Amino acid sequence: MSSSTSPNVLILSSANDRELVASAAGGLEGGFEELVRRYQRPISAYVYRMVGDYETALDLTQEIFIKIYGSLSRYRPEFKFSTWIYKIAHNAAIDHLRRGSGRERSLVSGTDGDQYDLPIESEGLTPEQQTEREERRVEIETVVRSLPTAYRELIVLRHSQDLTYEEIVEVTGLPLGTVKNRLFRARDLMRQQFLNRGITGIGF
Amino acid sequence: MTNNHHICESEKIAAYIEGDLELEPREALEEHFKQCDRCALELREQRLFMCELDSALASPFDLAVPANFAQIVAVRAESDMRGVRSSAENKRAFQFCIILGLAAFVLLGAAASRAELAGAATSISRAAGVLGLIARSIFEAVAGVASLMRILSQGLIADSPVARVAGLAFIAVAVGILSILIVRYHRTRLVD
Repeated sequence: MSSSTSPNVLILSSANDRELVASAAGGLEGGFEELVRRYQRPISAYVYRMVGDYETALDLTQEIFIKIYGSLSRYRPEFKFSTWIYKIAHNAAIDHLRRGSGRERSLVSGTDGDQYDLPIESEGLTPEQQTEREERRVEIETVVRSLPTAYRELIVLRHSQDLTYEEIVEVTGLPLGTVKNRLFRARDLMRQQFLNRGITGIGF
Repeated sequence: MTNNHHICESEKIAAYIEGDLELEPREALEEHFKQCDRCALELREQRLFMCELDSALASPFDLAVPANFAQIVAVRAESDMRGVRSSAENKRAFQFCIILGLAAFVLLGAAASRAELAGAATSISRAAGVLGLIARSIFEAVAGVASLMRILSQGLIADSPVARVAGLAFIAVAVGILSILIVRYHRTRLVD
């Protein structure tokens, strides 16, 4: 805010979220672009895990950022910006899933879409350890995809996006008790599914 | 019964791991872990499972977002959403338009010669006459239709309360459909 000089990429990249929001809402060129650059990865990854299709995830992420831009003037700085945009992303993803199926569903039946393998960093592991870790990750991803939306969204927000319970309450609008209870049920369901699939070594 | 008991214990153990238990129940549960192998095992399994979930799902990864994604999205957002601009900015743009319009008018006036102005005056008065005639006939036609509609609607309203309710329902449905169509239109514009 204090910098009313010409737009400078260096200044923008070191600005905090609130300053960027203020500059984007004030029409400063590059302000919003920097915000998109900052959040495109977590938001697209979150959306991908929610909808399970690469192309749809990218389209939806674009739609979400356009919505965010349209609502910048309504953003109140007393809220954490990341929580606020997750809320918009969450609503858009849920809206999309409702429009698509008309009911709560898991993503397992909808695997005809363009699936994308999320790469992970594997620092300092032996090839065997990497393979084992990768297999385990794929198993967990598969089980997450099989969860009903109401459970999957909470698992992704908690374990993938690392949101606190309070932030999840903000994002989903669910009561704290419901969030905790559903997360417990979701984890329990996942463990059951690992057992049913005959997979051991993941929490057993 | 035993299964229910197991779920209840599992939930309590999950709350324990999340640090949700008060001091007293927490200490009681810790004491219980020392005596009950089954619950101690459940605690270990749940902890391990949480760690597995965290490490599998929170691993740093990137969805292959196109290199210029941020730029494209920013340009689309900024050109798409007219409502975002502040009212001061809109007002300023409007003022500019008025000033430019006035300047164009003044320049055109200065450029036109007196003779041309006289010619323009006669053609303007002719055009005004034609426009007046058109306006009058439109007014007459609208007045005719309005009186016809009045007679028709009086007939309908006087007819029966059922027809009245049906008419109102028809209007409500029409308004509902219209708003849905408007919302859909905006949505598809956003999606593209």
